[in-house]
Amino acid sequence: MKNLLFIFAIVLQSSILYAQTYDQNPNYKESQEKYMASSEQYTSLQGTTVQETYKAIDRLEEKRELKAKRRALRAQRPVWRQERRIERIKNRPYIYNNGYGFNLDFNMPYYRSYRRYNSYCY
Amino acid sequence: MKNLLIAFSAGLIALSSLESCTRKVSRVDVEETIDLSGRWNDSDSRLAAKELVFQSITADWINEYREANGKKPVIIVGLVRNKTHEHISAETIIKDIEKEYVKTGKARIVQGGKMREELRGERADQQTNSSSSTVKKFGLETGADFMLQGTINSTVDSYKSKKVVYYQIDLELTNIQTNEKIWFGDKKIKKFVKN
Repeated sequence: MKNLLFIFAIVLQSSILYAQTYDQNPNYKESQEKYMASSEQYTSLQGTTVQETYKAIDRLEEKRELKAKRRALRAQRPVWRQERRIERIKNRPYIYNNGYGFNLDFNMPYYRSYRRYNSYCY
Repeated sequence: MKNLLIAFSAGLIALSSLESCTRKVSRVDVEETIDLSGRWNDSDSRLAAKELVFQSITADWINEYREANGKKPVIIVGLVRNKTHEHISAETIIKDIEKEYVKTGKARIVQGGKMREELRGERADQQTNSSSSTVKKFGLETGADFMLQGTINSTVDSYKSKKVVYYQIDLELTNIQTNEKIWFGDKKIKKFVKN
């Protein structure tokens, strides 16, 4: 009786298993392992919109963009000028004092060529 | 007298210029269509949502599934790809569809993505901080039967100051077990923009 019950249980279990896996690809585990290892990368963006936009050919839009870019650069100009001024002040050429009341001022325009060739003092 | 007149006119000019700088904001009806730049806007989004919600709710597949399986289908929202030339968020449309499914009781929706991660994080926190009678268990989530995915595409044709823009939103519902597509919804919008 006990053996009979045991056999019945085995038959029942195997039939359930067969029903569950009926027509399943025998190599399904390969795919399962592959996707289980990286499932987060596929599911993390669920419910969102992925922006895969492209740039359309639109002459007017291009013009607008260029104008905006020009304006942004123009707005930056005072900042650059200020920076340039500060840099100039920092790198101001020295005034050579020879001790006889004659100062060699390298800021004077006639020393331009000298400054050009001796960049260390400008 | 002359000075007084000059001061008065200067004051008037200053006051008028100050008034012109003041920003005016007024509330308008959400259903009102206001087209400013010709780009994708709330009106397009609303139109698309309305149409797609209608299509999804009236589709036959829900009744067919319920008759065959004796239960409501469980849906998870996947990715929507915006392949247009503009920044478009499809979440407003998707949320409307989700709400309509739940409101009408036609289908069940399960959480996905970052929000699901948040829920799992909360569940993990409960394992050590909540009382035994209220702690939620792992491994008892409802598995989705179908996934809602979609794409938004656009075509632009422009010449001089005129432009024609065509948008197409495609949503599709796929059986997660069999990969079978069981429902398609689409909305097409065409715009003529003259600058």
